[in-house]
Amino acid sequence: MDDVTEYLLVGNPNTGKTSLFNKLTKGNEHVGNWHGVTVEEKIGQYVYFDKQMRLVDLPGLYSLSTLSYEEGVARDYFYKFSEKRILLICDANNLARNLYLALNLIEYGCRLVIAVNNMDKVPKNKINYKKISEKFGVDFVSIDANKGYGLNELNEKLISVEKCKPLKYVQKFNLSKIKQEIASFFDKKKLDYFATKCLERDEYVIEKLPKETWEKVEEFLPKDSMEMVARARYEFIASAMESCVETTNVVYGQSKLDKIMMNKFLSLPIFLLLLMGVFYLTFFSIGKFLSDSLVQLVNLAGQPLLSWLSGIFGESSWIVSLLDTAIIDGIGTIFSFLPQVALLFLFLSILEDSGYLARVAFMFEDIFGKVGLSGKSVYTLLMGFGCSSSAILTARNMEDKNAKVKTALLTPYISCSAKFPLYLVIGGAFFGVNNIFYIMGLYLLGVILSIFMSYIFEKTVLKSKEQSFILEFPPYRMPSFKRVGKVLYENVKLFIQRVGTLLISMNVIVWILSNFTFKMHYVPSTQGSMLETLGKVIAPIFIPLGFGSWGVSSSILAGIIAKEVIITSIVMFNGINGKGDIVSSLTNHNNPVYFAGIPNVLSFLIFSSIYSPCVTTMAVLSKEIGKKWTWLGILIQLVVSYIVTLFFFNVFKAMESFGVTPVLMIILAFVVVLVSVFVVIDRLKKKKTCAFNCSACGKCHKR
Amino acid sequence: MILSELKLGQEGRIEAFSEKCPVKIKRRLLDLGFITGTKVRLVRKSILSKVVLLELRGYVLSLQKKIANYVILGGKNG
Repeated sequence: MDDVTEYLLVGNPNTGKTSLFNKLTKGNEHVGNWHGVTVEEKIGQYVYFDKQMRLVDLPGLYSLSTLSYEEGVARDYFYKFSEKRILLICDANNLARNLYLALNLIEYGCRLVIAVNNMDKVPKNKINYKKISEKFGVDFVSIDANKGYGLNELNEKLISVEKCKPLKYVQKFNLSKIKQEIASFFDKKKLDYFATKCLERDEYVIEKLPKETWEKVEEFLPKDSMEMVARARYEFIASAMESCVETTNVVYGQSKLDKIMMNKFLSLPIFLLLLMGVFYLTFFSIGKFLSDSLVQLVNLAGQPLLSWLSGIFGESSWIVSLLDTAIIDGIGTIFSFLPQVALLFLFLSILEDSGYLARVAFMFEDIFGKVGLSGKSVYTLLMGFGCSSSAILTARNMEDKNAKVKTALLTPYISCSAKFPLYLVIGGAFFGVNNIFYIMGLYLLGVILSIFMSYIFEKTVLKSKEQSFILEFPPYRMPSFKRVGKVLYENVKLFIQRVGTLLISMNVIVWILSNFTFKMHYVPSTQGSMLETLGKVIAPIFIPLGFGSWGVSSSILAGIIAKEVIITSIVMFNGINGKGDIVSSLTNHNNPVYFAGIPNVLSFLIFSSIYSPCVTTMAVLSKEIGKKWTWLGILIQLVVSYIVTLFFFNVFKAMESFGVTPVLMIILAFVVVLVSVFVVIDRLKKKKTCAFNCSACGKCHKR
Repeated sequence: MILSELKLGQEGRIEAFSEKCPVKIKRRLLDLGFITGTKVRLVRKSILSKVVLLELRGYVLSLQKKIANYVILGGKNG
């Protein structure tokens, strides 16, 4: 099989190009509904009967006169390898505009096959394939990239495809003078094509020509030469389609459903309501039930092993403890995450494949775009209220790498559900009924911090890709069960493979830290353990924040394992059992965990709500965005949380000295935060932004 | 009038491009079918009206308002 059939896969963004690539190569890349999932060139290979097929997936293109960097990559690749076969995929619903690119390719004269992707059951356009193939002088093949229909015919045509003939309409222009001028700079056979590109004032061609030549050529050009070419192409397409295509005039974005979903006032509440529904199902009802059942199952399975080992080594042996707290609990943790991961991906892929997220992207581009977020990253962030680690996984398929890293780093600032018991116990003890305000305040702080940090990241190291020039608008579609199932399977598998193993080993390390002294003596409780010693060492760091006792710092350290552990270790250190008075225990300066006053308690709550991701989240982070960003992210978060806490502690202390009551403190803190938010928003508004692509316009502002 | 001034659901015919429109953007708009005489309808606006959803040539696309500002429409009745 030395005879390899090579071809390039090109097409407008969102035509199902990636789906087709995956179907052909049987690869498993996820398909997004928005802008080009493909950023780099992707090569795939497969066998069709006795033929070896090899294809390169190029970034989405609207025209060979390019605008974005990705398009430039695709164009350059095409010019370089134009002798190869070309497969152009068109969306049947958007045929006229997709055929515009086809005309570009035909003008160039290449070995072209056109696949028309029919993604919907009731096609908008009924196409007579035989007729249209004749009109364009190129083979058109009807396919369904999702289901894989028509691929055999496609392969046949690809293998036998001949070079197409340039179409007549190009000759309408008098290109001879231009051709004379540029003749020595381009391939002689392609002069018609490049002369047409001169009419279009194409930058690629201008760059290739010496300045004087271009100036001469420019003199021949009519003022509206660009429009002449575009008009000729569209007129050709219209006349060709008239005889071969029956069109029903369905336009997306105007359906009854869209009138509600994209209503100015309803869209935001609907979006939030949908996400709340997802949140509830994932972290409370179904998700919680499944998680709990799985954890019980793991414990049940581990029990016989545990009691068998206890029988041999005795119940207080370190082996039993290692197995129990590090291994079995570790496996339990992994299993408890599985339903969450699965459900989060289920809902995300439904929202995405149905076309809803594309609408969200359109409606909220103004708001989210300002701080460098998108509808997808908002999904991830909001799911962070449940669990940072499984939420971060959902950022996996974001097409823009910077946006992905940013979203992943922002999620741990959002207060996850594991921190809730801490707020409930400590806050409840000190503030009683009013605790609701404190809890709300802590959640709000997380949200504001993540938005603020997003802004900072956006303006510094993690700038998201320039807003695309145009956004495609897909119809509502029924998500395919098969594909959603595949997404679920892939992601759950990946989670177990990548995160699972790392998590177990981290659990073992933490277990060693909290159960052994520095002299490697085993201690059944954490008393005297390395963790406690470390806690004592770092305690002074927290004195400026108002909680310098070693019990607090040890709990904070322990909280890195999992945020639930903060409160359990506080309870353990102070020996608070059952109905003992928590407040008097926590304000007794003889106890390991000690708070001097209300500002100190608030300060501690603030710090523990934002200080660091937990071990599981770290594991996910390092697998998803790499070690470098993970460490940097943790470091930044530690510093930010320290500064923020320091700020609030001093504000609260000042307020206390003026005799402000705790409730008033939190209200004032709200005011402070809101004012700072408005200041930031105001600054954002003043900031001038480019219309879209800086490199393309080069006028609006200096970089 | 200019394209971004259309009211929701209103239609207009493209007449010209603003002088300020950069060549690259003009060419792309032409490539997308924004050719003189083409009917364009404003379908929807985003929350802060910074992005508009347009229908032309039987398809829908969204455009930033700043770019829609470059497109000049003819006559009051289109």
